[in-house]
Amino acid sequence: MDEDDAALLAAVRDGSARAFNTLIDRHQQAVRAFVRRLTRPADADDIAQETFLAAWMQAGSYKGASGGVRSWLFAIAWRKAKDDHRRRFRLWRRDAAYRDTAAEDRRATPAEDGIALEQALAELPIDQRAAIVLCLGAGFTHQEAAEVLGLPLGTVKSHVLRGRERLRGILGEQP
Amino acid sequence: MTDRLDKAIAELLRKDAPAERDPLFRVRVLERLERVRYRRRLYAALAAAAVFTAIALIGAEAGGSTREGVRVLLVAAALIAVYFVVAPVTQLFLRFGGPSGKN
Repeated sequence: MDEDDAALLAAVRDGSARAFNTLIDRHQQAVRAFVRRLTRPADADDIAQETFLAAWMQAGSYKGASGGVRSWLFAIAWRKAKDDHRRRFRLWRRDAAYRDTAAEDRRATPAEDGIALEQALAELPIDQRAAIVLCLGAGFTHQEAAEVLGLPLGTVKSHVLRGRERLRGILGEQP
Repeated sequence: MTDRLDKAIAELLRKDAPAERDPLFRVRVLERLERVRYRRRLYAALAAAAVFTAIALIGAEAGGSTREGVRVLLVAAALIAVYFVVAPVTQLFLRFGGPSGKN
């Protein structure tokens, strides 16, 4: 799969539209799922589309990564989502203030776990959220997630640990 | 407890994932790509037009006739038109039916 991806990317670099289509079909679901957890749903697909557009344009700069082309795509998506997050920082802070007041009324029951988890994830800082989504949701190793996020391995481990603890706290679970 | 939480998170993340195959998403990416290419071609054409106009103006100031200046501009316009028509067709040919055998 990974060798195929590298070959596909080489073909994309040479201008193959068919290879590009296959690359999109193969990775769109994972990339979109990742971006949806980092940004507003309305913007997620825009960012995912920009990710593949950047992949087309930067195909020549791919030098290989431990997680392969998939990691490379996620790294592009991460940078774009983070840029978007910065642009919307003021709006996000206002939303966060609203969520903080609303959070006091929330305590999860087992039936509400899904909703509560979703809200809890949204309350995590974007770095922690990304680390959680990659390691627990997308099956990345800590090392691969560190490469995608451009962070030291220890920071990613700490993000996953703290993010998990925070989620547990928000969900009202005892360690 | 950690396992339960990890599983719950993993399930949540999978729950409302996008469709495994989504041709519409691909079409939108390709649409963006074409828009970027068109913009690039437009900028290149505008730059070329500016260069030819500058050459025509310099030629006129140096003593060339208006008719020669108009000729230069007509040639520039023709080259730009050819670029807009030929470049996309050439790209399509190379991508889908070209002799390179890349596809």
